Amino acid sequence: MLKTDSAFHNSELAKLLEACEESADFLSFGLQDSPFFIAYFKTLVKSEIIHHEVLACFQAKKPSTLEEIKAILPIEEVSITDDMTDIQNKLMTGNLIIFKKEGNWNCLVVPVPSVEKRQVATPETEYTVAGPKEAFVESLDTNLNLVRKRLPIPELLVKELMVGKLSKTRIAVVYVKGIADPENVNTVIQRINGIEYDEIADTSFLSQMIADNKNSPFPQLIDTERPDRLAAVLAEGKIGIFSEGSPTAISGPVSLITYFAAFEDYLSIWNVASAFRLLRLFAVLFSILATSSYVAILTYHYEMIPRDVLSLLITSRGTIPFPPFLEAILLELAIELLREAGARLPTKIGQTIGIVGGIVLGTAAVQAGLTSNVLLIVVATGALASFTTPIYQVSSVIRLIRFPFILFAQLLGLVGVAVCFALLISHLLKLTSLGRPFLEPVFPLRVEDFKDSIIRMPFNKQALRPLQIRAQNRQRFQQEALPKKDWDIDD
Amino acid sequence: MKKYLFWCIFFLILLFYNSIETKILEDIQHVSAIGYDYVDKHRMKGTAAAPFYPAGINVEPLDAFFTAEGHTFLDILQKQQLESQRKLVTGRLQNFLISKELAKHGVSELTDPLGRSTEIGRDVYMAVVDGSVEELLTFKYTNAPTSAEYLSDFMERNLKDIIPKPTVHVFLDQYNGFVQDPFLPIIEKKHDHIRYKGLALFKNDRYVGELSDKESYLFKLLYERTKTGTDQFSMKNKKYIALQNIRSKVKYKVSGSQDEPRIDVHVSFLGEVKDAPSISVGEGTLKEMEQEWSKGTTQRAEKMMKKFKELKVDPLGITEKARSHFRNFDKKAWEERYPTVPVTFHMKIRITNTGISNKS
Repeated sequence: MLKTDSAFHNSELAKLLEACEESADFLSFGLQDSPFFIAYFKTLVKSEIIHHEVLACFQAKKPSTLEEIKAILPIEEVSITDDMTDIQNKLMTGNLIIFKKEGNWNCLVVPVPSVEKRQVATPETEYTVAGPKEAFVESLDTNLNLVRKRLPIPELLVKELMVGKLSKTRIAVVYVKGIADPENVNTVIQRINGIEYDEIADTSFLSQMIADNKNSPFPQLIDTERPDRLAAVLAEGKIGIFSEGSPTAISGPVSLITYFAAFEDYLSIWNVASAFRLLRLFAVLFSILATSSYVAILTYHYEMIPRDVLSLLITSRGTIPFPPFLEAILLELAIELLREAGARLPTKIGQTIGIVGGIVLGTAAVQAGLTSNVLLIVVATGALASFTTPIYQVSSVIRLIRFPFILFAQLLGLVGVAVCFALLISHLLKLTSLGRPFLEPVFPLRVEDFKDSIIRMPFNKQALRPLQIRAQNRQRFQQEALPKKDWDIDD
Repeated sequence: MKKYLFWCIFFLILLFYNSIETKILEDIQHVSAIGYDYVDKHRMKGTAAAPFYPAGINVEPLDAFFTAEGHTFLDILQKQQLESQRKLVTGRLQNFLISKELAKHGVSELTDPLGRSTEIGRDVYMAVVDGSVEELLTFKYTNAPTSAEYLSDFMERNLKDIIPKPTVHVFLDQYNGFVQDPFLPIIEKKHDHIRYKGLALFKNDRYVGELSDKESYLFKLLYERTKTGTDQFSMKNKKYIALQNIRSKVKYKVSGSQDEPRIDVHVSFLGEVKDAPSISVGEGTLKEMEQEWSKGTTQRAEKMMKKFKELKVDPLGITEKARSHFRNFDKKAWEERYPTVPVTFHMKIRITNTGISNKS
């Protein structure tokens, strides 16, 4: 217990200390041969610094005022304040306070934080074979360091905000001044400031809270765990958002096509990259439409089946007691169960689940005559195709929107599939990302922006930043005129 | 407002969902070939081959035939329906056969529903059968699981190399088109095989004559550009030579006035010697071969044209070409003039290859 005189006992500082003392990890004690008291949370501070720097300085110099201590302490950012909310915040973020129990109860706030953080590791969800292998970690400062390292210019600005009544999460809005559109920056900052929530655990919370359409299954801000990818989008004029404690950064404004652009596309040669990007787009379309087309064709449009496939389909469907719709739904659900079970279990058991589910269940279901092997192939390929998207969140969206497609296929056949596709397209047309059109460059049509959308043109063709972002300065680099070819092959 | 509209449409779909007829693939029976025999002036006998696929993996289809007499396509189909175990559907129809007897009496009643139905696809092949259609369809052939499959393979993968593609839509186009007369392949059952016999020539919807199987390849050369088939011809010394078609083109030139028209048919043939036993193939003989071929083929073509003129049929579509050449085309006058219109054939050939062995 503190030895208190009555005046101090009534002060706000004493009340604060009393409130803190209810926690077992709060320490507050008076110093020997000195009028000063020290208080801190022992779980938040580095005790070596307190012992070697702070206490040692008291023993050596015997200071008598807070100003004197401030002058002799070999620690930066030491401040003297009597603002109680400030003191409370500082206490909770790894500072210790030194105060006297007489006079005006000013406090000397000394930052001695002990920060627990993970090492920078390799990316897990956006792993690429070639290219950098760094990934963001849970520490905001480390993440900012990773980005600054890649963009060492003073124009890279970091705006820090605080969100969350309980979590007091530090949010950093990062952009390159002079390139990023100030309107976008203001939109982001305004929306983040408008967030009313108690605990922000991850940037995906933010991504959902500041989204233009909160009910859309499509994420309207892209999340990444790669510093190289974030640095690249910042250089394009986009805005990055970090939050303390989250190993992913989100960026925007984005268009739909960015969800199918892997960072690896920029690492390989443009024609190879374009081919694989097209493959990915095709895979997504296939994944959405394959099962529903199967249901529609087998239920309504048997005329469409080629002669050679007809007998194969009829014999494989012959023993199945369900109509194609139920068969497809059951199989799709089984695949989703497998994926869900695999995602929830530890890696080693997850692999077993994959084998058990995929091979044993699949073979058994076909042999028992519960599903046709043709549908099994269709569903499995569709599931496989949905995993080719480089952004994890999008692959779950793609698998989800297959179900309404299957339902519509059952209701109206291929017309239903077309209706559902029209609904999907109209939804995408209406979507915006930070107020910028989501389906750009397809709609509104910006032919110029196709250079990095469904295909990726070579770097020397990318002299202008995409129109969608409305960058202040669209020129990425001065394009040199190509030298005239006046040499011969043997020169 | 938009949301209400969406949900309204969605519930309307749900509400009327029951009124849409589903045709689940394995719950229907697919008619893959259908054929008609002549019974009397108003009646015909239809035979439908609808192979039945039993449940299971790697099972062979069972032959199933349904025969009924009636007046029209649908009438017969309904009567066939009375016998079949599942609903008969014609959406996967592959072959449409007509007996020669029936063809002589006109086929327009039969082909009319084919043109109207949305179910009939583009790849339905038509043929005239010399003899009984029922017999040809229901015979158990040893070289295919079902007769329908044999017939489909035969029409789709074999016949297309020998004659112009005989699909229902081509037939209907020729029949309903301006003035061209349709033609169809004639097939027959010979011992335990199906055999191509020649080309049936139609005047309007009636069978009036036929070309032999040998003539029908020449007909293909005159009718369309092609890249398939072999043509055999004889040299002066009765040595036979077979030429593989690499590519051939045909071009019709109409000249003169409408009262005195002239038709020039230019065929250019790029060929390869495939079979020339006991003939030395060299620089000189090649030239000779080319000349012989031109001469022989021109004669054959002229003979064929003479036949067309006698029958007053126009399967080559010369009238159509004349119509597009002359302004204010008089169809009636042309039809009368047709047998007298001079048609000249120019056969140009280039033999580019004599095979890998250069035997001389």
